[in-house]
Amino acid sequence: MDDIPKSIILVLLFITVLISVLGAWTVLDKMNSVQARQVVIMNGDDNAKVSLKVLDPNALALPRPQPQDSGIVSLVVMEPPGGE
Amino acid sequence: MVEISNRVLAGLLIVAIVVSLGGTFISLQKMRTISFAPLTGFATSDYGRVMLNVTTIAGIEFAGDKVIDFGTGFVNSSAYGKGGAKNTGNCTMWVNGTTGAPERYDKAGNCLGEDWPGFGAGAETPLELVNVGNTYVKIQMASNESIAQFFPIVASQGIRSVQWVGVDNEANSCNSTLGMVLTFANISTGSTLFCKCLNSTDTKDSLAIGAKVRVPYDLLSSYYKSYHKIKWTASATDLGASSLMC
Repeated sequence: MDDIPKSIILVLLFITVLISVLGAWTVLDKMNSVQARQVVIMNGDDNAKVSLKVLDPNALALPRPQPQDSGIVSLVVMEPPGGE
Repeated sequence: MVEISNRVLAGLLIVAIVVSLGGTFISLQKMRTISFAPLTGFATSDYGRVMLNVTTIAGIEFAGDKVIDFGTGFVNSSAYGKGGAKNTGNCTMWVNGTTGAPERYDKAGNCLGEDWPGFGAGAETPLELVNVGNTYVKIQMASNESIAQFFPIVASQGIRSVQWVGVDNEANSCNSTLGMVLTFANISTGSTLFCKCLNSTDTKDSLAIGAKVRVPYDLLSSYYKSYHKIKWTASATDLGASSLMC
């Protein structure tokens, strides 16, 4: 059985190198695009922080509204001079 | 040493190609399935949502000093009531209207002493009852004393009265004037409706409670010279946050 000519080996070798380089480049490119997106999100305007602190109403010094309150009407009556 | 044949070399190269292609493919697949949450926690959307639950509270409060003080004075012994009899003489004073535009009155000639003659030109304002909660409320008032308890008289002949009135302190505070005490009416120790549905909106959430007294001439002597007060208690019934319940 005849051996394969050297030209075929060269072509295969070239294809191997090409695929290896392209594969590595594709993976690295993907990685870079993912990292770039992360950086943009981190530094962009898309990020905001909303925070609130809920206080315990029972611990507040302010009184809670009550469903009842009172008002006063007052006077002082003096005895009329010469009153009977 | 035996030379490797070209056929073997070709085989090795084909294996190298397959491994290279396979490795690239596997790497790309792996990258697609990487979960970013542990790496970043970054927003994946421009919008965020905040859920806030506000508790409803029914609350009312008399604003300010919570007092209508008619001050000190006495009934003119020469004041006349019906038929000119002294024992039916009385001093009538009142304050009503709103806290921003109060109306005051004292019966000239009948109301004497330190403060009473000047009450009509004074600075007293109605009580301001404010809905300080965030729901609609029904307002009822009750007095802690009856007229007879507040003004005990000698012979039950004197003209005596204590009256109250309740109007919108801010326009449209009370959603319905039905049942409101819009003109002076005798106080009661029982619950009296003042507003079927009081708003909680800041610009229209208050009632002005006015007072009118007719101080009789023939009060019991033990009544004189001491400070007397009558307490009006307003109670709110929670109608909820929707005006549909009004």
